[in-house]
Amino acid sequence: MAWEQIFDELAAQRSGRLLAFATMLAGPSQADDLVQDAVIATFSRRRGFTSVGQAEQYVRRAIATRYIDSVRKDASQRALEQRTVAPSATVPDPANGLVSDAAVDSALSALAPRVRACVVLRYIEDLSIRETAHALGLSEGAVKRYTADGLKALNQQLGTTANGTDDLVPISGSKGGAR
Amino acid sequence: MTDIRDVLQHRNANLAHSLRNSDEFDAPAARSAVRRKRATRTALTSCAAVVAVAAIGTGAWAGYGALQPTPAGSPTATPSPSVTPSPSVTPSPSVTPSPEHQIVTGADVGILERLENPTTGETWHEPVKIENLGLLSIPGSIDDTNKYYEVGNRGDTRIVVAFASEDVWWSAGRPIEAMFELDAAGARLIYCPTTRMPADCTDRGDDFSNYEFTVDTETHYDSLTYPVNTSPMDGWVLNTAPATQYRSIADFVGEASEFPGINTTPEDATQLGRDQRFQLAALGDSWLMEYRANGTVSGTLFSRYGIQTPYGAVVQSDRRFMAPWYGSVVTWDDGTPPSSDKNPYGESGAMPVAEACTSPDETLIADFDQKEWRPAGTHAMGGVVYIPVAGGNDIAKRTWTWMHDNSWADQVDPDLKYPYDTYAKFLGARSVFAWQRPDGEWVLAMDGNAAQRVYECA
Repeated sequence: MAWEQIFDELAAQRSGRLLAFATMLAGPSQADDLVQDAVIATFSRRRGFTSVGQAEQYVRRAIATRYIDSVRKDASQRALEQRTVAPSATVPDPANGLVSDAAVDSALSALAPRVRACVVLRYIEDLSIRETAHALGLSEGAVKRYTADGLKALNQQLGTTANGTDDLVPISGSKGGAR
Repeated sequence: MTDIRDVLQHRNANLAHSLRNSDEFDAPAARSAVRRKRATRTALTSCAAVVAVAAIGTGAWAGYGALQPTPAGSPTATPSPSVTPSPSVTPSPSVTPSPEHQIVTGADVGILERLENPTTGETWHEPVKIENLGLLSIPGSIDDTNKYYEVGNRGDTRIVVAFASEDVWWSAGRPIEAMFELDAAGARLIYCPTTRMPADCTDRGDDFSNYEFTVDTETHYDSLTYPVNTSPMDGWVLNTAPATQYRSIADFVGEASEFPGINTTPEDATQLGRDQRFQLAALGDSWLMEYRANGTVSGTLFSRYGIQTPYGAVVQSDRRFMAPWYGSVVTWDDGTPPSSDKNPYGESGAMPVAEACTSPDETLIADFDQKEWRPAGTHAMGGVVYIPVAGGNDIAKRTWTWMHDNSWADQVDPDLKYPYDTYAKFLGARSVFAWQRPDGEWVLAMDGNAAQRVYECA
């Protein structure tokens, strides 16, 4: 299938999903640039995509890579990783137990970039720790620690719980826990 | 809804729905950019193929420099690395060091001794394709049809490697994704195959718990544990230290594009750049290699280093093996201050003359003419640095023309305009220079500020 046909299908059918993923990963201010760059980079290489789904997977990984690369290059972003999560003014609605979109956005925006990336890849993309480490260029230990920290912060802010996190070790915790 | 996964998935779905018709993704602009980049790649690939055919056809490689192509990988007339060197071949060295030359020193002497006389019991053989064992899901393997090859034995165990069935997006070639030992008890993932792994190698959790193998962080192979520094000849030391961060096991056991039955895409072949191959130093049954292919600028060659393992995989340098004269500034004899300008990619000092984002380890001048250059300074290792004679020379002109004509980042951001709009300004800034490598080859380098400006890299 010609690349133009796959490209057009991707743009018509999948751009919303890609923008959503980029927004969850990096916030709305960077999302459109990330998607634009990732699509250009993906299709500029001569890959023989056979389906739009296959192309979308490549673009999603390219979005994650570009985001984490931008974090590495940006000193001001790096400084964000040093800060602690601010107390949240947003709480779940006790009447129905639902968490508002605004609360989720606020909680995600309070996370450090790498922490946010790990949470999004693990919990939205459903990548394994190994796959997440590969996608972000981090060690698997770092992915576990960042994810644990992110979940802890999100749960505190949103009143949520997280299942299946026994293998995760908070940065502040013992290093021996996951070995 | 209180589970964090459900909350995040719900928010993501809401976003996707609300953004499905948004105009934040500029499809027409992206389409145009893709077309332009693909057209440029086509032109470059075609140019490289023509130059390769011409050079080999006229015998231009004969007598070129001190290195000669090895029998294991004779020059090919196309950019495709179709040569499949057999690990069973005993190649002859391409570099002949002086009799007293030591390729390693200090603690590396012990490493080399174990490389040459492994004590860990492994033997290696030519890779043999076996059935898909289905042991793991490899990122990038869209259709989950991974490839498995047996590459060696240790006692009664078989040593097997696995990699993706197709081109992967994050690396040139076919990076090996896993190495296993198989015996009657089952499969073990050999997670730390050398004794010089990053400290976080053993920092693994239970993310393999769903797989049908155990994780072995204790087994390592002397024959894959390489020195930190390797010197092919006097005055020439390459940093062969392993990666300091565990990003991929391929950094330690190699990529497999030269295994039997593996077809490399033309684009990957260009990125791997193995039209010519030279053996620089024997590391036990492995070889420190130099690979060359035609460079971006006409008349130049890309040089990349790597280690060819005993089973035919190649540990790519990823610019880790670069000689220490790169990245530094040149000290000019006339007192001109060294350039400290950083290009938009954050690079400064001497760097290879190459397309942005995909730099080789070095760029060589295919046909160096001493009359076109004059000495003007020294590099970090004390070697003489030459700049073009007054008025410039052909290769400097071709370098400026290529970098200038292939810079289009200013279409997106005016601040990213190529800094030298004339050849004279380019020359005046001492943007391009050369020095001789200890083996006699001539290296072409440029100041980081003279690099091509493309938005994708900036």
